[in-house]
Amino acid sequence: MNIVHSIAIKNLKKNKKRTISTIIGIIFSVTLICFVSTLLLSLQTSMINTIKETIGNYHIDIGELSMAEAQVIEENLSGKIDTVGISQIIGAGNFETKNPSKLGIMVEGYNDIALDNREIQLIEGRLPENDKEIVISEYLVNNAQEKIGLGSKIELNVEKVKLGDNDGYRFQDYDGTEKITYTVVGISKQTRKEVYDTRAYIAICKLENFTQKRPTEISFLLKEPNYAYTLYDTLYNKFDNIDINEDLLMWQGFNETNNISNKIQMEILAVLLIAIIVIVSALLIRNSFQISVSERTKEFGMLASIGASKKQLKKSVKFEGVIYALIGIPIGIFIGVAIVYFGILLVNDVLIDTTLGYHLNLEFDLSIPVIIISALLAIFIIYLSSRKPAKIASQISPMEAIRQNNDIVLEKKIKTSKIIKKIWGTEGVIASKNIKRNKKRYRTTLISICICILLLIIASSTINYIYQIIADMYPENYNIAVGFIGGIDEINYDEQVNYFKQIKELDNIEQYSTYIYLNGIIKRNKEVLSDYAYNLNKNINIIVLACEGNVYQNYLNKFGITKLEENQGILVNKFNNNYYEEEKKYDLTKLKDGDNIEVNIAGKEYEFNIKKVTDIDPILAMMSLDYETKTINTSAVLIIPIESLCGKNINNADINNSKIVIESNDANALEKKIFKILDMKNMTLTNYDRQAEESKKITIILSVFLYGLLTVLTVIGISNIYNTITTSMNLRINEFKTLRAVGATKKQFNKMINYESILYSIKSLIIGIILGLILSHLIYLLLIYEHYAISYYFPIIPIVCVIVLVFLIVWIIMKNSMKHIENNLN
Amino acid sequence: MEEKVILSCENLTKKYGDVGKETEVVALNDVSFSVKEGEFVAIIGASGSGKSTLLHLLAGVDKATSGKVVIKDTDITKLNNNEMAIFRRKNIGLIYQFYNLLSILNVKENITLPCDLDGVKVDDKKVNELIETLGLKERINHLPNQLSGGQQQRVAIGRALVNNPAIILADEPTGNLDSKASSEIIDLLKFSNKKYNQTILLVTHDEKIAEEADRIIEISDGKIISDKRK
Ligand SMILES: Nc1ncnc2c1ncn2[C@@H]1O[C@H](COP(=O)(O)OP(=O)(O)O)[C@@H](O)[C@H]1O
Ligand SMILES: [Mg+2]
Repeated sequence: MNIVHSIAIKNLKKNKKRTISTIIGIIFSVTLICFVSTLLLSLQTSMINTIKETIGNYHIDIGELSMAEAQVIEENLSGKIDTVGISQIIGAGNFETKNPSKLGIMVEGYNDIALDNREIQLIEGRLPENDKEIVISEYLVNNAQEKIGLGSKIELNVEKVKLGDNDGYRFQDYDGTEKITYTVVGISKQTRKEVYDTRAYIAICKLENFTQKRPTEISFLLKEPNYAYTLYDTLYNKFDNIDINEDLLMWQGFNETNNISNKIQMEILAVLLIAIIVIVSALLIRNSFQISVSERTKEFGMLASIGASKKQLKKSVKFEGVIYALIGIPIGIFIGVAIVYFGILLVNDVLIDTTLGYHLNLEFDLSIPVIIISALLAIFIIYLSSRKPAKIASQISPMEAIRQNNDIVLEKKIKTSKIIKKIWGTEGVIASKNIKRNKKRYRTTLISICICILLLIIASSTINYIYQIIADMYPENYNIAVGFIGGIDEINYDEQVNYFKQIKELDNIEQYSTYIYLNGIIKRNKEVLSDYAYNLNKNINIIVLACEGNVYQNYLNKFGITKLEENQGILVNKFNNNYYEEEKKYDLTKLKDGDNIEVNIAGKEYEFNIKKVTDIDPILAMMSLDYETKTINTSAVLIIPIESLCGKNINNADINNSKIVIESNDANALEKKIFKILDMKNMTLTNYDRQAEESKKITIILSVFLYGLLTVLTVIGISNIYNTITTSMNLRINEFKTLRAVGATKKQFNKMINYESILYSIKSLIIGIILGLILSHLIYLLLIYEHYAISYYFPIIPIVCVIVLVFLIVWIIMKNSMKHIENNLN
Repeated sequence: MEEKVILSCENLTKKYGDVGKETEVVALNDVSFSVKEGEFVAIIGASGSGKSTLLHLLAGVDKATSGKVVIKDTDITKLNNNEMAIFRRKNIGLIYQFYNLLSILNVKENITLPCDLDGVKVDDKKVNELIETLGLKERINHLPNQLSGGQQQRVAIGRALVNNPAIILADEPTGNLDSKASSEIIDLLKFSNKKYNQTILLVTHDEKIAEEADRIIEISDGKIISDKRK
């Protein structure tokens, strides 16, 4: 080994403490870089895979085509398309199950690519290999009268379908029947299609031959995914059933021109985090190099005097960096990757269901380029931090070694203010001179403390805002909602009201509100309708809201009404016929308080006496009534008591939507009781408390991540402060000796040290806190700009913590090194 | 036999402080002399007379205000710092009052340091012989802080000699030692002067030590006031 190298190594061994603290710093920063990049990469991969599984691996999907149309599209796009999945609806056959609304099984044939790329999530078995083999959903298995499993035969009398044209819009015609026996070869999760289909289960077989007239669906991946947006815009008007897989595109990094893709958002986040890590660790490493060089000034001078060249001196400093890199980088990469790996295992364990909208299963993704980039980045940091110290070392003149005393040459006179002298006496003057003299070294430390403070403030504000955003995702006034969806669940009006009655009589209910939302029609009548409405030349739709409960009662109270009789109602007389003129509203009728109104509900005429005509939008007024329909406010509304329509034989098919929302003091207990009354299949029950718990888990994981990151950065910062303070104290040992020689007492020493630490801390606190507040305010403004409903959070607790912490840490380190020096002096 | 001139300086002047202002200090004033191969020269003078300054200029670790220094036909005042460093490690052995050893290297490593820096293969036999001559055979693996002052200075001498330099410049090498250790060091220098015909320039303020040399140059206030050969 070269002498320059062996000197460097011996030096590192001699200054073990500093070497170790520097290597730990490097390990931490590589760990962090690796951690951040691997985590974000894994997150992105997980999102893409989840989307591929639940939505499908395609960019554009067009359904309800004839085979000929599909072929034209394919031909027109040839060269631009990467892969094409084709499926055709073969037909449906009756099949009786426990779910009365699902009448049969619809069989669809998929070609190979469609089988691979559409959202079939196999639970058991395999994909079909011919047109007699099918994959069915788990939902069908659960609802079947007899047990169905892999290998079961299902005989269907398939009524085949073909596309027909009827008055300009597509509808499906029957094309004869055929008895087909299918074999179940796979069981999958429920597809979106099956969820949305109100009447049939979906079975998927392999498409062996195309038939011209069958309804055809094509889904394709584009060679240039960015083209998807343009293509979608051009095809949008031609096809009703066109869908763009924007989620997939966004996560793969393709965005519309005025949008930033999720992938790029991730990358920006990664770059920001990594930049912070790089800055903090570069400061540490540079500081440590500088200290090493300034401690070894004499040694470098001596080496120069016996003929070491500039290059050799530089090399000896840089070689220290090589050692740091050789030890620190592999360990750092290993730890970083391991943390992500085990972190993901843990998170997957904790996070079963998320409110992200997907069932997200995090997947660990290790990418060699990412690892290499992390390593290169670390090498770059080390190289960058060693450059200047190496240059300084190479310029040390041999005279430094020859000079026969250790006196510090003062370049300039240092001024100190009179106030300091008054408050702190001579000790203060010496201390502040010291800080000013070592300005450069103190600056590095100051910056690293500042960054830690700043990050803590930003992180705590960000977490607070995330909590607020998540809290805002849930309704304020209720935590349980039970609803029936129109058309699917075969429960008529009276049965629904009856169920709601049973539910509202359960325990643990503080407040409840019920509504059933129906479509009504007002006949075109010049006497009743306003001129504007009359001139629209059609019957006008009106929302009929049959209500009961707390929110409804509050609404009535606004008008001084205590109760509506069965034949009474309140008319919200404003409507908007034009989708694009959201803000403009028109009167619907000429009716006044006390007039009667005739409304057609489910084909029958009903007459109500209007107690009040108002402009107060019930949906806004009763905002909390239905969390999801907040935005429907373009129709006029007739509000009636729920009893009005009882016993009128109104079928589920005529009901749009119905719901009871409950504020419960024990949502989980109530949920169980409701399940006892109602069979899950007939309703949707949302327990917002439980969902909130899930989100809380996400927030906790996020907080752990952010605060963990912060802790590591703080440790790096502290080791930086430690290095600086101890060294500057050691360098001043002569000064201390002299001071003692002229009779300074221990108390006076302490006073000096205290003053230094206070001055130091205050400076970094002021800068750090102010910058932190400015930046977190920017985050606040950004979130407001993005329309999140959050209120400003002043991070008072973090600030207090930071103040106490900084004083404590600086003071402890100073005190410690002082003790060390005292021992040395004796 | 015509003896070769190995070092010469002409009109060397060194000023410190702000030149022309009242803070100006003339440490060396128009000094010229030359040294022949194999000469053992002592430079004496009172403290502050400019001896060290002269030595630093001759060693090229400091720059002269004016004048020139020629060592082995090279005008070293024309070299830049880096060229000077390389020239120095090949041609000049420096010894100081404070031994300036690397505390992390052992005796042998400290001695061979200039060779190692030069990247030349160390002649092990020669080094061992040198160490034996220095009386450090038993101490070969010791670190500097395990040695006495005299021993440390002998290591420094070994380091100065190892590269067969054209000239050794020693600045008060005994200044920090007791009289027994001092005379050992002087004996060692004389021995190398006799045995290897090593040219030596020794700075001291001790006249008794100076008496050991072949030639004594006396400096006062930055000027040569006498130059006597035995
Ligand atoms: N770096 C310097 N800056 C200013 N004056 C110096 C410096 N080095 C030496 N001197 C002055 O130059 C003169 C000669 O010093 P020096 O060569 O060290 O004397 P000697 O070695 O003979 O004791 C002294 O007056 C000294 O104060
Ligand atoms: Mg001197």
